[in-house]
Amino acid sequence: MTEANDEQRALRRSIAPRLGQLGTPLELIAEDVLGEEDGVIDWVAAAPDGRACVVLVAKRSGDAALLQAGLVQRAWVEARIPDWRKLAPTLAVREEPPAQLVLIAREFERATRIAAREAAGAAIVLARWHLAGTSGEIDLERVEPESRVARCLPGPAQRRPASAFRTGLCDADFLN
Amino acid sequence: MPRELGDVLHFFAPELTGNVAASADRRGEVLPLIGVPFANADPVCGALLWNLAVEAARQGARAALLAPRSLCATPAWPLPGRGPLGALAIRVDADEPGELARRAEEWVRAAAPRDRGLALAALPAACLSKAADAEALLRWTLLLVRPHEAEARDTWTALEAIATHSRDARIGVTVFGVRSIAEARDCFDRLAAAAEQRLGCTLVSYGLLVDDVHLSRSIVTGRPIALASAHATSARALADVAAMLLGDAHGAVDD
Repeated sequence: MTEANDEQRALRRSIAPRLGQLGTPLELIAEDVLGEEDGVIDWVAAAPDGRACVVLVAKRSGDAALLQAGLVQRAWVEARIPDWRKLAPTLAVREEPPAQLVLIAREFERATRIAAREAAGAAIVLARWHLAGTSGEIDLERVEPESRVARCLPGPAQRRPASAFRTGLCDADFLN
Repeated sequence: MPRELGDVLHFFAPELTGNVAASADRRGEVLPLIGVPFANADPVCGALLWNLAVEAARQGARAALLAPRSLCATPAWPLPGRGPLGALAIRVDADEPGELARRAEEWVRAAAPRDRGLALAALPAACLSKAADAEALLRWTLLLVRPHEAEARDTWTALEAIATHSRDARIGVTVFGVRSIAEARDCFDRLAAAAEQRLGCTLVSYGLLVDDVHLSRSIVTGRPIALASAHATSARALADVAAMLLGDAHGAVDD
């Protein structure tokens, strides 16, 4: 148990400086927090807009249990933010927008990526950690949720796309 | 042992507080290497691609068309080796996407620094499911799209696969098999709007290509349109698309 805790601490130390690679600078507020059902929350952090971030790190593959734990711990943290704000009014974390869940694992099963997409859309971030080179340093890479499979063809355009059709031809080119 | 809020308050101490700088560690180097998904061994698509490679060569580029063994079996596909204007046809004697990607990247990286290169790599649609092996081919892709329904479905399947595996990919679309610019624009706009809405990706337009009698002749005779029918609409369309691709690859458009 102690060995496992040491490994988890070492992994945290390696990952903490890389969290910014996920796209948003995070202010780490609390580490190794015991949350709901004695589950460990690796970090509670705040995004620049005050959104709380609940970060869970897994040594191995990210599976349904990790996603479940993340959702449970995010709910636990969200419920406590008002109390934390009363006790520490200068705390960077706010009650709104709703807390984000960041799951970091060696790899994610496809089913987990689909479940993450279905569970809460943009409020769940999945990231994969891997060893960079031979130095033992760890890198993080964001994992996009599994995209939803379209069940039908695109219909008529409802709005103009951001990209524009380009051509150097003109209608006269088609007259012959 | 569970901790109460008081037990974790010390974590609010300044020594743990600090901004973690965001660093954009992008491996997104975009080479002049374009993966072109093929739903099947379509002779028209093959001929258009080869003509596009020759046209890029005509515009001064070091151009190559790479394809795996399975696609090279169609009659419209050029024989391996150096073709008109120096355009190179490369047959990769394997059907694994990783090998195709490796050969294509190797060819692109072998260019001299001043070369304006363009590699088109025909990627069988079946390979998209193994796209992790062919990442180099997915950073920049070009979908050849016919406007009618069956082709749109194939295109949509390819789009989803590319967007899923390579989030920051540059996904280009060239419409072909149309009889007017309006038809091509409508096809692109519908696809682009749907891609934005459903996949959150922005498509890049690379114009339109015309499959007319000159293309048919090109398939039969093996002579590229740029040489046999330089003033045909299909030749102008090829020149337009090649110029856009070279412009995006190297930041300048040559005529």
